[in-house]
Amino acid sequence: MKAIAMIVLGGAAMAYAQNPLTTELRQGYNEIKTAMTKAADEMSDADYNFAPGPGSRPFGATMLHGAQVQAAVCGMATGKQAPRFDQAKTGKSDVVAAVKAAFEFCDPIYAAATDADATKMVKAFGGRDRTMFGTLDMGVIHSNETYGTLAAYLRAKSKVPPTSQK
Amino acid sequence: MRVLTVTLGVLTLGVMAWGQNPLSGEVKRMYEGTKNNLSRAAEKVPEDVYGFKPAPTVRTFGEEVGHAVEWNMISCASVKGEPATNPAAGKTSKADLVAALKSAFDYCDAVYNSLTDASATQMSDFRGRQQSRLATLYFNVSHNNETYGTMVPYMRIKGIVPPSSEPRGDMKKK
Repeated sequence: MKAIAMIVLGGAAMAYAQNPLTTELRQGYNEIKTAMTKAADEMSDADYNFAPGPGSRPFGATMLHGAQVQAAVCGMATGKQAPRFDQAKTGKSDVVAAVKAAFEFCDPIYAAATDADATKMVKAFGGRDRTMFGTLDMGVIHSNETYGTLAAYLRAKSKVPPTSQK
Repeated sequence: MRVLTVTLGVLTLGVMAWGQNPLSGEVKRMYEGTKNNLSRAAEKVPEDVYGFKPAPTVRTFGEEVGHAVEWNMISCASVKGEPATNPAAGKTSKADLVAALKSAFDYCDAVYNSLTDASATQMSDFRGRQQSRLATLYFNVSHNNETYGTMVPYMRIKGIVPPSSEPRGDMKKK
């Protein structure tokens, strides 16, 4: 058992040494993926329509927006066709499915990213040239912003956001 | 004509700098975006809302500003290899917290501005863990954006349009 753990740790250390930037990128992605997925599960079906104030998106629409942007960013980073989600379907079951689909689309893309590809140029929002690394990190950054918003919604409904749970 | 020549020269230098340092150039640009949103939110929210919180278990708006100050300082001090100070410690008034935020961003500006793609991969200690400077500075951008995202519902509840929603209307509605 100890030997297996040592091999796993050794493998992780080797992967980090060879690709430090994209290994760190993946860590950030996996953390926000977990937080977003749990937040989508945490909110009750009835509260997917909750919006804290006039002009703000309801919980379901905000989560769906986060999923759509995350998927779009992964598409831009690779040139692959990203899944499109019906923005009118903001109920819990549809949104949870969209979040899952977005991350399933993105998982292999973040997993395959290497430091050698980090500075490869891709077309991002507005046709702007960006590095592959910067584009994928933009997905992490935007998902963090979305999660920050949703955490306040969860708190307003007396729920503890996933990242604050013990 | 002279203005045009100078402008073209500056733009060319900017493109050259970006071409040589695409990774550090991008993280700096994203930092500027979050800095702009947080600074404008801190300025826009009136003093009497600084003590507001949407639920009993969360930070007040002012505490969110202080939280952003603290983590910008922790992140940027880590990259500089200096002990982090917290200019927001004990501050609760809008004037003090806006000043603390400016101070934190002034400190971080120098860190982001001096980053190159070569120095981005150098390791520094961040919360007891060795990681690249680029990762720490991207973490800071993500955390800034998360904090700003948290502030957005506070502003909406108080009928304040978040700064990022001002120019583009519904495209950026939160």
